This record gives sequence, structure tokens and C-alpha cells, in this order.
Amino acid sequence: MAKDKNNTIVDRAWDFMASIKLAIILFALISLTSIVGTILEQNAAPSKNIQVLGSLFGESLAPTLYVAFEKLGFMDMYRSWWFLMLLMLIAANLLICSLDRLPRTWRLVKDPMKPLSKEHMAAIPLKREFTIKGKPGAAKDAVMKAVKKTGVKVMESSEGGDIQLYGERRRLSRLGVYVTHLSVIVMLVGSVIGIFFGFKGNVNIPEGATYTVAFARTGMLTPAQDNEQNMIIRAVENARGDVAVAANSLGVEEDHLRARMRRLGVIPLEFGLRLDNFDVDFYGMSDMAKEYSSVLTVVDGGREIIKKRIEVNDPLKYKGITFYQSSYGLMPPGDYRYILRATSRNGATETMTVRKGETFTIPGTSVEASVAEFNASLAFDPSGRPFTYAQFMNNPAVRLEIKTGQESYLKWIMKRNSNTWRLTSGDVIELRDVIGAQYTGLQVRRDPGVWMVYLGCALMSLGLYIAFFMNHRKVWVMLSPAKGGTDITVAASANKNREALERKIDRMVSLLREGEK
Amino acid sequence: MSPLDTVFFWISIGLYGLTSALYIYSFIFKNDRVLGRISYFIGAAFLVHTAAILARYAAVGNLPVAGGYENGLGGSWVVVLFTLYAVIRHKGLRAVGVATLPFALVLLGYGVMSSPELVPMGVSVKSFWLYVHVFFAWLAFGAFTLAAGTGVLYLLKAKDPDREFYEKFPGLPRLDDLMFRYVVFGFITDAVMITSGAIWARDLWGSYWGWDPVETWSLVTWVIYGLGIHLRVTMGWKGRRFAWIVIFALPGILITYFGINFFVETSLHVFEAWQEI
Repeated sequence: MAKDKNNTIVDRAWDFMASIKLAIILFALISLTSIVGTILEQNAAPSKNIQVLGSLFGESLAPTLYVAFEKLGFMDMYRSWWFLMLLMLIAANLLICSLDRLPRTWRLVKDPMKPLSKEHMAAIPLKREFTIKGKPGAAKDAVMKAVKKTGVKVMESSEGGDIQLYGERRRLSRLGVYVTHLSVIVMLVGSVIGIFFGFKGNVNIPEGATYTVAFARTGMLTPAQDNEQNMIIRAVENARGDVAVAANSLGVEEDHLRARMRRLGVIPLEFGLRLDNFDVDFYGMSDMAKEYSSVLTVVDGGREIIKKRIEVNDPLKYKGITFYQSSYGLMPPGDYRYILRATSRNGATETMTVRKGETFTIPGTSVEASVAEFNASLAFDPSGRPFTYAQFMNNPAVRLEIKTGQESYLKWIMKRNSNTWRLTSGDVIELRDVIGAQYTGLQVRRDPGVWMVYLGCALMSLGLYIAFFMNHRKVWVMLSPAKGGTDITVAASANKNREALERKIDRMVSLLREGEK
Repeated sequence: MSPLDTVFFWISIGLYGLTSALYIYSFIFKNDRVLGRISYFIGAAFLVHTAAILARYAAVGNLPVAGGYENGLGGSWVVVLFTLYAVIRHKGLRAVGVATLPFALVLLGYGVMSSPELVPMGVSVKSFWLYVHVFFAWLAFGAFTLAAGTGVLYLLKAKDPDREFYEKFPGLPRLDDLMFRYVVFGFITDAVMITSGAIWARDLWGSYWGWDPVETWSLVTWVIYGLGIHLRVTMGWKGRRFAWIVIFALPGILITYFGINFFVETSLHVFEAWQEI
């Protein structure tokens, strides 16, 4: 910035902080480090990145390079001090450059437009001069009409025998660039609020269980910390999520307990979240998932407040905390309950929930059955032996032991294949669902800064729109008496899109000249 | 690919190849007559290309918005669409295809080499925001490509301004202005693309920004264009300098658009491994 010549160090530092040079240096640094950050997997197991480095620089160098990069913070670079500092410097650069330029723009915006002297008018590049018939006073109305067509609000002044018509439009559009710059700062502030006052955790809830805590991602815990974490979780769960009660039962101060929780990555939810059912929908008979869904119930103060089926892209929100469907898996064999629907030959139907080994009767018949075996992903090898083909519940099946007076046999019933439901006796047993076999993995987020980030997005749209699609346009028309008519001088300026203005001015001029004929 | 999809796809590849060859021929031999008729070839190729997309839509049930092949199919379509727009709007700009048409051809080729299988949409990409996101990504992608093509024309003409062959191109100030307009359009649509992606990411992963490689790259490229605009507006980097900026920025867009996965496989934007979201 070319300001006054008294270049003190403070002035020079200010100018540097406001310069686009600094912006380029900062963004170059961010880009270069980001490239490293996208090649090295963030927060990954060391072996993965050693392999990446090995493929780029050779096996022998890889471990040394890994240590070097790790020391520099590249394994978690977007949270490293120097990356955050770069972002802060960008914010400072943006802020200072805006503050540096704002006063001048503000003067342009604040002061109403003034008529121009002839000399000033002569200095404006976009100019048209011509003569029309009639005295200035008589020609004025036609000129006024023509000037209005350029979109400006017309004012009038006269000096000597000269009349000047002038006007401007969208003076405030000069501020668009500041709105845009401000929006970036608003977003950054919002994200900092999110980092300091929000949290990012996850929790795996088995079907039927209620959780009152979530887990933030922390580093590895020592066995002692692991024990302490378990103790805290149990206390919080027993207290139904009430940290004060949990602290009381542990015999510690509530603040102390909260501090320990933060250290150990346990986040109390202050309410309970129960998983009623988790389900995967598949495309046809394939193993390609179509939808994952968890039926969740919020239990607060002993009452069920909300029951919602969440899906990927459709989370549950409660008390500022949002739960996202993010993963799932199979529980180790335990208390599974099988929901079976039996329909007898003569049409009597009953749905029942049984555990392994519990005998039930098909309604209206004397056929008895019980679950002998469960397989989460049943398949048969070429010799007909059953095996489990996936780690998930892709093809749940129960092997029923069926007793019909005379005989007793085993039969596999698959949930997804209705051909397997019919027994030789003509009765039908359908596997509706298995409860307790799966858990749902939820992302748990609280981000009190998000509204500011969105506000920043909105401000940015507004700012970009103003900055690029609106311009500050000024038009001056001088009418001076001349021999046999009026000399007209048209001058115009715009802070951008001058071509369009020039076309407008030419149209205006031809309009005036046509009016002559 | 479905059979119909395949047929249209390869015909359009052939037509784009032919058109690109004609472009290069006319530029090397400074042949005006070929260039004069080239819009018909672009139009024909574009129609067949559109048919390929419709056939794909019929087979798989969604617009080409996910995966390498679909991105290649969609991205090149947008590039050609923007080229056609420029050709129809400004006759002199028909030469811009010398840069954009071979580019579209490479995109298609890359697409078919990556993963042309017919797959239904993965769970994570089923969102209203995906369409907003992809739509604006297309607009930005097309505009930036057109800007780079205009930049190429600018540099050619600036190097040899008196050559008769270049006379039919728009004048240098006009080319410069168009280049800037395309960049501004791309810059704004790119901003919408990033924002809608962030909103979608929040619904999906719980946070609007995670420094995922694709997010990072899209931000970096957006910032590069932003800096280009600032350099032009505040420091007067017009013409040749600006042309070089828009040409050099394009590879960044390409990397972002195809989701970085030709370098690394750690991106969440590679949607296959859902269990690990």
C-alpha cells in the first residue's frame, strides 16, 4: 500500500500484513503442506504411512522419513500448531487488508455524489461529446429521461448557464468485497468455537442397550486409565447419565469427575439413548447395502422422549447433540432373541420371540420347534457344509429342530429367502429378525459453532453476489449553451464491468441524437 | 456398462477423437475452412454423448454422479456443453475447442479405464445435497475448463497477433474479459459446490469440514482461483499472466473432480468401504 512516506517498522509490518504477497505466501504454504497431508493418511497406523513413504522414497529411507514427518506434526497436521497458525495468519491477513482498505472505500460510500467541474469531467476516460439543438433549459427534460434509462437516480445542479445532470447507483456495492472477507472470518470463528466448545465422539450401542455416555477419540489409554474409564462409565450409567449423582456415588466432586472424563474421553450425555433395532436393507438378494438404519429412543428423566429411525444422511438431534449412523457390527454370541412368525397349514398365525433352545408350538398344530443354531451369514460350501461367509449379518439364518409326533429333523430358515420358510408339513416358519445380535455405531457430535459457519456461508454468497454482479455506476451529463444549441458532455464511470456501462452510455447517446431528428 | 450405453459411449469417443483431430489439423495448418464447420461435429458428438448418459440412466436409475466412469461421463459432457455454449454465443470462440475437446476426450478415456461397471448408488451418496453438490461441481468444472481454453487462445493470439488465422478470434481485450468472466462464474459455483458438500458432510459424517483429501484439494483450488481474481483486480494481472494462472489452475480442478483417488485411497470420498466411515 502506498501510504505516506514515513515508513516506520510498524507501518511496514502493517503493510506486509495487509499485502496480497503475504496471502500468496500463506496459501502456497497451506497448499504445499496440504498435498503432504493428503498423501500421508491422517491419524493412521504408522505402518500405513511408512508403506506410503516407502513407495515414494524407497524402503530404506521410509522409517527415518516417517520419524521426521511425525516430529513435524504431519501425521495429524490439520490440528498441528503450525497449521492452525497458518489459518490464523490468513484470518489476520484478511482482516488487516480489509481494515487497510475500508476507510477509502467508506469515504466513497459515505459521501453523496457531487457534480463535476469541467476539468474533472475531461479527465474521465469514458466520455461522449455532441451538440443538439435548443437551449439547455429546453433540452433538459429529454436528457433527464435518457439519463434515467442508465439506471441512476438523477440529480441536478446549475452553475453559470451550465446545467449538470448526474446520478449514481448501487453505491453500497463497493462493500461487497468486505462482506466476503468478513464471511471467511465468521466461518473461522465458528469453527474455532466448534473446536473448543464442541466435541466429536462415537459410541457403539448393542440392540436393546441404553447408553448415557459417548466416547471422544483420545490416544491409547494405559490399563489403569482403562479401569478408571470403565468405573466412570458404570457410575454414569447407573446414575442414568446424571454426572452429579455419579460423582456422588464415586465419592468425588462433580467438577473433578468432569475433568477426569475429559481426560479419559468419556462424554456424559445427560440422557439415555437406546437402540431398539438395527437393520441393513439390501438390493434384492445381493449383499450390496441399500440402507442402514437404527431405531433409537431418547430416554430422559425416565421418560421416552423421542423415537426415531435414523439412516445414513438422516441423523437424530436431541439437546444440541446429533447422532449419525456411521458403522455397525455383530455382537459376540450372547443373549440373542429370535423373532419368528409361525403360520400353520390352516392359517393360524403367531409371532413369538424365543431364545436358543426354547421350544414353541406352531399354533393350531402339535408341531414343536426350537432354535438349535444361528448363523449371521449363512452359506453352503460345494459339499453342502454350512459356513459363515461374512463378518456381518448379511444372511441371518436359524437352524430349527422340528418335532412332529413321528419324526424330528433339522432345517435352516433364512430371513432373506422365503423359499426356506416352508416345512415339509406345509406349515411356515419365518425368521423376522434377530434382536441383540448387532450393534450400531453412531457418531456423536456437538458443535455450537455450526450456526456461525452457516452464517458465514450465507454472508459469503451475499458478498460474492454483490462483489461480482453489482457495480457502482456514476453518470454525469453537462449541458452548456452553444451557438445554435447545446453542447452535451456525457461522462461515466463504474468500478467494474465498464464495457456494459459503455454500451449503456452509447445507447443513451444515440437515443438523444435520434430525438433530434 | 449396459450394451446401449457402451455403443453410444464408443461412438461419442470416436466422434470426439475425430473432432479433436480436426481441431489440431486446422490449428497446425491454419485452415479456416475446417474450423468453420467444426461446430457440426461437436454437436453430433454431444448428442451421442447425451444418449450415452440417458442409456446409463435407464440402466442404473440415477444420473452419472458417482464413481470414476460416471464422473468422466458427466464431466466431459459438461465441458462439451460449455464449449457449445461459447461457440454459439461468440462465433469467434469456436476455436476454444482446440483445448476443451481433447480435454473432454481424455476425461472420457479416464472414466472408461476406471470403473465402468453398473452399480446402484451406495448408501452414503443418497442425499438431496449430492445433486446440488454435483450440479455445481459440473458448472464450476465446465467454467474453469472454458476459462483455460480461452486462456490458450489468448496466449496463441498474443504471441502472433497479426496472423490471419487468428483474426477471426475475438480481440485480445475481449478474450481477456471472457476469461475473467468464466473464472468468476466458476469461482462462485465452486463456492456453492464446497458449501453444499459441507452441508451434506455434516448430515453424513457429523462435521462440515474434516480436511479430507477431496475437501482439502477443492479448497486449495478454489483459493488459487480466488488469488488469481485478487491479483487481477488489485494488482492488474491481466492478459497473459491471467491466462497462465487459469491454465495452471486446471489440473488442481481435475484432481479435485476425480476425487484424488488416483493418488491416495484414504479419502472418504471413496465411498466403497462404508463400514469404516
